[in-house]
Amino acid sequence: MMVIEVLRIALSGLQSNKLRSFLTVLGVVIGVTAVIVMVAIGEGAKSRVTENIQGLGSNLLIITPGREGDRQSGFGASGSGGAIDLALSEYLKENCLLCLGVSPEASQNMTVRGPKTAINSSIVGVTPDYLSARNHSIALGEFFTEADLEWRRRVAILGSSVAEEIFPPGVDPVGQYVKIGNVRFEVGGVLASKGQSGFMNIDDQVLVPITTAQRRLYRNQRLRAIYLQVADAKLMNQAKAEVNALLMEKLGNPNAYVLNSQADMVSAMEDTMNTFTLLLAGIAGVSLLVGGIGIMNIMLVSVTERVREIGIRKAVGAKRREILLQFLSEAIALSLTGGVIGILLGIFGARMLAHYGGWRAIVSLNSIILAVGYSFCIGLFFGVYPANKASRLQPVEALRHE
Amino acid sequence: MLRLQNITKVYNNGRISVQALRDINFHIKPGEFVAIMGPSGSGKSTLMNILGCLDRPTTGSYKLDNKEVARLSDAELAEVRNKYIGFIFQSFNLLPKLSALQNVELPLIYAGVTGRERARRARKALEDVGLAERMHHRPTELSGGQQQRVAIARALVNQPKLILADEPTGNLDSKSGLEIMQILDQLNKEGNTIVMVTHDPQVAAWAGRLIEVYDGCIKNDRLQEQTARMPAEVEMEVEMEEVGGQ
Ligand SMILES: Nc1ncnc2c1ncn2[C@@H]1O[C@H](COP(=O)(O)OP(=O)(O)O)[C@@H](O)[C@H]1O
Ligand SMILES: [Mg+2]
Repeated sequence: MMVIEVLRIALSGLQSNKLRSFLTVLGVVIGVTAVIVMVAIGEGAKSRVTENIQGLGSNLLIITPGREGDRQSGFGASGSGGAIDLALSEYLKENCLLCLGVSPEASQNMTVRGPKTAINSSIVGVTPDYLSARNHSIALGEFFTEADLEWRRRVAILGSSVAEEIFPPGVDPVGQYVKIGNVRFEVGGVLASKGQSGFMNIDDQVLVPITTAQRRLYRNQRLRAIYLQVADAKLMNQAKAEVNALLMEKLGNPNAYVLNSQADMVSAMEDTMNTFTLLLAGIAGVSLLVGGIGIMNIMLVSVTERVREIGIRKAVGAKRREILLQFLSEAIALSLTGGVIGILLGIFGARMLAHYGGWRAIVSLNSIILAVGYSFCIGLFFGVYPANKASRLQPVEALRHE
Repeated sequence: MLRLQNITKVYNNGRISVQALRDINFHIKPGEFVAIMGPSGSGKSTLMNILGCLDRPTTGSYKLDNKEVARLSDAELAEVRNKYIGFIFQSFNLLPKLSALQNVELPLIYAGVTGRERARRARKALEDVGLAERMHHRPTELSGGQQQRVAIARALVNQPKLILADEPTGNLDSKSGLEIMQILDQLNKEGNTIVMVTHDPQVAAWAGRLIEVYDGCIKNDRLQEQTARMPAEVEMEVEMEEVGGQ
């Protein structure tokens, strides 16, 4: 008997059991879609974060406070010997031979009041090097100077979103005054919009001279980080060793600081993001599992229901092989349909999230293979295994089945 | 045609085992019309299922056209059921999601008959049982008698040599039962071998030989005169109509 004939039986079987077919397909679709979308989100986040760190520049060393350094230079502590502070930054600037630029950074969240509204924003204390070190540019006005830094002038450079929010439209903020906390600052300029960079969105920040910030705003001397620009990417290892030696000399405690290169951060971040992706995939995996159990249920019930059909078919001359082929084709057709719809929906869902949620979503081939493979196996196994059992029965036994 | 020797059948359901057939011996010649009677639970269906190759005997020899059925593989048995035997069940056993025509096509599909030839033969079989008008109806849209006629069409469509019917009129009213018996009678007159189980002596009277089964054994096996008998109720109805018409 021809295979085509059995395929035709299988397809008409699916047609005549629309609800069952629909539910089975739905189970596959949900599982596959969930996995594809979730993994796409995880992969997207990973690629964005990695890209952001890479965007910092490949010849960057970053010093951040270590576990013990933090404790030592708690609130109000002023430049005690073992802290990451401006003095350390100055020291590195003078002594590090392989460093081109040394850029200290501190930040705190505070209110910024303009003529229109007041908002809460990250007030970042930096030096004039910051602009070039981070590849930012000024849209309006000018960045502050070494002199401003030295005199602790109250100059603020607004991120573009901040400027937009606290100033009415059409007003040039440059030269106007804003209040950060209780302190009046003159707006020196507005940064060009750039969006996410590193872990911050530069558009949402306000840049001020770090000296002013420490004296007038933060009331502590702590730095968030010191960024060191190394002369040549090839010299990274030597530079790292040199900086490490300088830090040890100055701080005397390897736990007082953390020294990372940009590459270190990328790989650390990738590890974290992989865990994140795995977590999302795990959540999606649960829906895949539930979907699988759904398929299993429907298939098991339907085959039990259809033992009589198997009996009738065998009674009029169907061989075991033909029964199996029929159920196999049904299961494959259902799983495939579900898989294809699931892939399409998954890709579509990932696109929608990317488009409307502003997330990056990267559909990975692995997730497609995993999700479809799993649903396919479940559909196949539970479509065929009970049918296989039923097809072994003598026709009477199958016919007696109610 | 077929010969049974020392056939026994034991059902083993866990701890309980039931001896449904004890020692069955008979043979049936081509062209015979045999009725099997006996009380409920005496083993008639068990016997029919073995004759129809729907089940295998526990011991004994069943020869169909001089071939030992016990030696046939499951696939070969499927082929015997498909080509050689037409089975009519008390409960019709039609596939509910298929039309009458599709149900009748089933044995042809498994016999490898395709396309127009298949549709033609299925249609012809339905016409032969008087269901030309109902081909595209589903079983649920048909009366019991019509469903049984679909089942007969299905049993006949591969032109089997042996027709087996297990209480074919058991689920039908007398009038439909009569129609079914007329069809079987006609088939027998055309030379088909028929074995039929029934409860109803009126129905059994259509057969030329009566085998009585009692408690898994054959109690009686005799030839009888074939009389086309109407079931009692139908006779009454017909009489009533005649009376009413006058
Ligand atoms: N599948 C089965 N399992 C166990 N016992 C069965 C089975 N089928 C039939 N029997 C038993 O075998 C005996 C004969 O049954 P059956 O052939 O159906 O009788 P009949 O058709 O004459 O009424 C009965 O006692 C019945 O209970
Ligand atoms: Mg019975």
